[in-house]
Amino acid sequence: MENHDEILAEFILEAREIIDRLDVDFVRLEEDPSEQALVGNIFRGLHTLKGSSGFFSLKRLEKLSHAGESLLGKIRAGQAELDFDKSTRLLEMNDILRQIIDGVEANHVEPAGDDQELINALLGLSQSEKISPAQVSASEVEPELPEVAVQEDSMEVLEPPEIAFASTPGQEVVVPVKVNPEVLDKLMNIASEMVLARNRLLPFSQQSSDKLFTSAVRSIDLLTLELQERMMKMRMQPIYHIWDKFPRLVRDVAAECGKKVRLLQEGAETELDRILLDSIRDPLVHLIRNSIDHSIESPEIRLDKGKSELAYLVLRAAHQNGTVIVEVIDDGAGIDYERVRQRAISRGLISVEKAHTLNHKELIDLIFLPGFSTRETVTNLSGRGVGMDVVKNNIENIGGSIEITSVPNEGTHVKLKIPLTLAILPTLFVRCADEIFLIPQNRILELVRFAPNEPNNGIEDFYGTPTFRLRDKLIPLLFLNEQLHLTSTPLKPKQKLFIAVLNFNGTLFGLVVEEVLNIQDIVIKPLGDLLRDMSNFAGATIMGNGEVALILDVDGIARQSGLIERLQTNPIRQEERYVAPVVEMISVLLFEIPGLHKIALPLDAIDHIIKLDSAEIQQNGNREVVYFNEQLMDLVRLDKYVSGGAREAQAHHARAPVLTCQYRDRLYGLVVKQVTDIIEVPAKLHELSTPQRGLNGCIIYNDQVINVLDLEEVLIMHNIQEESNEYPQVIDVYLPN
Amino acid sequence: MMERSFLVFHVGAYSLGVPAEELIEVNRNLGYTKVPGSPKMIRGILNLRGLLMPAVDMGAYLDIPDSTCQSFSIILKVQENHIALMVDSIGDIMGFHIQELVLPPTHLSGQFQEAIEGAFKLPNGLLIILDTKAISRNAQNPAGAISVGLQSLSATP
Repeated sequence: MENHDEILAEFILEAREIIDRLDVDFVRLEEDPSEQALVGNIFRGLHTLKGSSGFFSLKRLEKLSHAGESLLGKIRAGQAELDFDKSTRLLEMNDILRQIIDGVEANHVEPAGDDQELINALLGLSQSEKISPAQVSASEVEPELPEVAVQEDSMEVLEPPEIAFASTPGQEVVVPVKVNPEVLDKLMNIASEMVLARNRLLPFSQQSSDKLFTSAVRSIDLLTLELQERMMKMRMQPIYHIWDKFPRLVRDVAAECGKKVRLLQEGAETELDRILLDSIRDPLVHLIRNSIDHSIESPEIRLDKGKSELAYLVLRAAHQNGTVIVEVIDDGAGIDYERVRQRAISRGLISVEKAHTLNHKELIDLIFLPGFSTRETVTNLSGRGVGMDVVKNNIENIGGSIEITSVPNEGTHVKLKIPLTLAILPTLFVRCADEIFLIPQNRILELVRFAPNEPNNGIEDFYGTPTFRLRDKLIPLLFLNEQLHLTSTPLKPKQKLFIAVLNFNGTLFGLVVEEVLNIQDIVIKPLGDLLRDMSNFAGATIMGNGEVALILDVDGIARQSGLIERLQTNPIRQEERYVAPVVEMISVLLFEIPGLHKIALPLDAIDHIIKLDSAEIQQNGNREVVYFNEQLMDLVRLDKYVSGGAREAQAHHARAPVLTCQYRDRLYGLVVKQVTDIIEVPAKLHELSTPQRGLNGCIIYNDQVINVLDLEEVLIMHNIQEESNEYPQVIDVYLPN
Repeated sequence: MMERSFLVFHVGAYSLGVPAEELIEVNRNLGYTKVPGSPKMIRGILNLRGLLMPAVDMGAYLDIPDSTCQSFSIILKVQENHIALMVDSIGDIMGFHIQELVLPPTHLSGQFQEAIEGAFKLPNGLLIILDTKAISRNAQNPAGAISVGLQSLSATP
């Protein structure tokens, strides 16, 4: 009994394959009725199906496939031609065959149903082109087709070895093994666990001095690597697994819209991860329906436009730089940009003034907005407003992107960029309240370390929404700890913020995390139903140390935060926002000279701060010099040259701080009394109403006046002094940099 | 007479049992990852050789306040789902005749009815048999979970 079940399961699998194949072949045959090889294929497929269903005594299946086979026999013999009517009936038959198979799988018996009408129609069609319409009956059709009968015999001879292949060892033909996808997933799971176990083993072997042990570990290491690579390859499947359904889809949709479409497929052998393949099926179906329903014109209009009556729809897939490019191209009317504009206005998605400034690319972006449809009426094909936004989301969820270009009257070109595999995803590791979370890297536009020198951390409140300035844009902020209801230390003034700028349906927002760790490729673990209701998380992964880390669902967080609603009620108008004057900050060294406190010099003007023993100071004429860094350095006593500097008696400190600097290739040391601080101040100086000697101006810092040294002036005075012994009152020299 | 085996464990002062045939293994000190926003009964997710499963805090699930449920985890496979029950301590595997199962009193409100299958009489108290399917259901769908209380049960530990 169990054996019977097993064989039946195999039969069901085979029957499904045949039926799927038939779908494709019927449509192809309809396009090119002269293709004899196709007729043969279809005929053989149906015949196998009929034979096997007889074996399992599935009467309905047998009768129906027999009727189809009879009609095809006629076509093959050239006695009838496959036209639209016939292929519609044959496809109908195919659908019923599929239903029967589904029923057999579920209940192990054929579902009840009466196919007599269809059988009669099929047989009727096979008779219709004969001179004398014979009675419609299966038994009568057969004798009239001696050719078919011969074929049947030969087929039956062929079949037994096919079934008995397992019992004939030594045969050279290797039959591919069909594996249940679940088994594959489990194997994959074990392979990645193996990698983790290996990771735990590696440190031991590095510490060990046992040669045998280390070499054993090394071979485990290599084998695990190979195992992982092979597992990855095993998951890859050619894209024709989903494309196979499309000829039928295109035919049905085109028939429903009254359009004539020919589907061309290029690169059907392009391989993709199995899971990805599943998740691009629905978006592709949607795009194809869209193309046929919206872009491609009816045959009359096409003729009017001077195009061929038959429209082309091209599906193209190819590998490109580690991604898979899938394109859907049609030669229809393309996107009606004016209609998109009007629609966006009438749906209130954008303002009228704004709408007229949009270029084509921006108009295409509107198509991706939720609730957008240019259809006036709802058809069962499109126009329900669940459309391109869902397609876009689906594609982005698997780390892909979508790009549409359209030329009026030449067609639409949709390009999907899909990663090769979903199983491995580069993610950013962030820390929040001592927990590690992962953000998919493809969602991150940029990472910002935000460190404004302001008490409110540079966060501005915009109608209750915290925002920050990123270049010329106001970006709303979400705090990850708040979103996840984690307790963490409140923000300290002037604390640096780590912000990941993310994109949610075109709205940028910043997610504030406590710490950014690293970017790493991770293996996504299926969570199943585990976190079904946790919209904040997209999945989980197991880290190298065996711990589980959660992957954040960027969309879920954005949606749950209510940010989007808040922004809709109070949209941030980037162009109207207040522009703060850019305050450039510079670092200055704060020091004292005799008689004057708080003198500053830009930090980048100073090379070193050294302490100088008075014993090291030597005389060179009337100059004080020091041998420093194998160079002769002029000592400049600032108090001599700066207004307000008091000439203290030569009771200089034994070890005075000296600031060394370069000016016109010469080394100078500025003798000061004390170095006090390094501070950040606005670069803009307050000009002094009466110029002060040796000073550039002043800076107000914490309500205190800080004098900024005019180094150039001081050094010029220092050098003039050598020659003329005369101190000019004020020298203000303009020297181009 | 049908005999079934149950794994006995303790949460607070209560002796509880789950069907032994659903038991995969018992573990000590398995690390788990907290899931922010999950209800109290979900401690987090734990990784058992590559399989992720929810870790259910049995103390919180059954509303037993004097429990820590820290060190022991019981891994069960209930139907197709794996779950980990965090409990205070582990007892023996005991066999009982299924006829001896005392059904929970009918006046228990709906949620307690859901959590408990019945009880076996032990010499020194009751062994409460939990409905593992209910635990698994609540763990898979934590938003709809309701914490069930044992205090109101007449069973005295």
